Amino acid sequence: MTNPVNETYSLLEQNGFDWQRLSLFISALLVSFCLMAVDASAVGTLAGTTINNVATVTYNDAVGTYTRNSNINAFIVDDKVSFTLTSADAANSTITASGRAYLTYILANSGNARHDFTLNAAVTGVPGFVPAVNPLFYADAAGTILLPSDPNAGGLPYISNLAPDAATTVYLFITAPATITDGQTINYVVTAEAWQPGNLGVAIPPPVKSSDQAAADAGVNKSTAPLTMYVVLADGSGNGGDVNRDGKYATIAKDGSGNTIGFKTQSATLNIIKAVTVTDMNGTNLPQPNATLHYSLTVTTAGSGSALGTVIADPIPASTTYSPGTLKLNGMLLSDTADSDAGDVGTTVPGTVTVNLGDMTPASPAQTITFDVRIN
Amino acid sequence: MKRITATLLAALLLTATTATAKPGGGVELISLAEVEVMQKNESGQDVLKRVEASKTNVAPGDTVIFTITYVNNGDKPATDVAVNNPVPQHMVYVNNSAEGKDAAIDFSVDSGKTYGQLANLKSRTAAGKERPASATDVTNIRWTVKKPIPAGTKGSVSYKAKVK
Repeated sequence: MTNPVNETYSLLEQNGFDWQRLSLFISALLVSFCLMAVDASAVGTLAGTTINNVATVTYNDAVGTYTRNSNINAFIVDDKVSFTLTSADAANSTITASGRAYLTYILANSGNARHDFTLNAAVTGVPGFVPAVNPLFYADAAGTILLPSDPNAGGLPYISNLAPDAATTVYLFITAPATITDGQTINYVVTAEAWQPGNLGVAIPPPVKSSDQAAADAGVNKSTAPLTMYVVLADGSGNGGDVNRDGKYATIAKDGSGNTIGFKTQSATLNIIKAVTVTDMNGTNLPQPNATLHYSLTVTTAGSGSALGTVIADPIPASTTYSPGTLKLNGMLLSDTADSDAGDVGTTVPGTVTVNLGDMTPASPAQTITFDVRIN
Repeated sequence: MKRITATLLAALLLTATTATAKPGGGVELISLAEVEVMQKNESGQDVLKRVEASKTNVAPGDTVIFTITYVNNGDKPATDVAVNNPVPQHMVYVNNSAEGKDAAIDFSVDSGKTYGQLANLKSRTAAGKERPASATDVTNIRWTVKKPIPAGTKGSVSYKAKVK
């Protein structure tokens, strides 16, 4: 990199002016303005940047006035490893039987150099269920772009070459088992670890953890190796149990009240209570021929989930005949034919009362279906 | 186009430096950049030690101590000695850190066009509004040594700056 400061003072050293050097100097100035514009947005001065200091002295003696530069004192800015992994969720991610769900994390490089990062998810706490498919990291919320993994990094998924000041969003997906119990949770601690840039996913050279490089650099006798860029760890610690300056950042997702969040199962159980009252022509309640049976089905849900597309089918008992025009849902008469209303008798399923209740959510009130039959 | 710019610049430089460089002898300047690092002494205690910046770790946010030593190698006393140090690119001056024995210290926030006490200098906001200058605006530091430097003697000035 051309250093405009050096150019300035080497110009001053000359007795005359060299037009070619001046135009070089002007180009250098323009370059330096462009560089400054880039630096302004960065977290810090980019790793590997050379910083030069030059002082100038002017003085008089009995003979004249003189100007003189100092030596150019240079040093190199080190690679300061700093990054965070934060959870973007405010509540549990709900997961239904055999369904997929995800948690969202943001990996941000707050250092001054590019780095690779591996990601690892481990169960924290006592899990309430065992996923059918264990955690996988994806680059998209649709869960279609699986992050690549590196066998040299223990098969961990990774993000390559994350630039200083850049952040990337990753999505942790699991798949629930086919059979679940409502309200069970599983929580994860997700750890990001910094690696030297551009090595993960590349066979040669083998990838090097930033913490290993920093440890190696700490042992270098720097007085014998001046003007070298070293790796220094300056990462903080997450709430997942890592420590400062370990090249790792471990995060457990929390809600606004500080409670751990993760995946929570959601299922619904339908409860149907069927009641019957008998009315005979004598005004008694004896189930004899020509007596009327008044059926009442009360449908409720239990659990935090929803029963989607709930259809109740109740066969007309043997030796009875449906009394036409008696089918009601919540007290509202439904026609016996299959049409725009929710129920029919014998059309959808022969000999059966069918009522479509639609989506039953935890907020849905109890649904009551009533109809009459007559004993043959 | 280039020629015109060059002429303008040359004119500026000429007014700024009517002085000429002395081929040899005279006052020489030595710039030293150091950082303070914690090291163990012989008895195993942690002590702060100054180490040359080029021979140790320097990262964004670190403070570097610049020491500029002037030596009069000439055979005559040097008068009106002024040391000027532009704050290096990628660095920001640390407030109240400039020191120099028998020297008046002035600052510039406009790349050396004007100098004064930092409290009296003005800078501009991103929107172009005038505001009091702060240490982070300093572009140049100038030490004017009040006494002549006798032949064969030396002195030093210093300042601190942080890596951006």
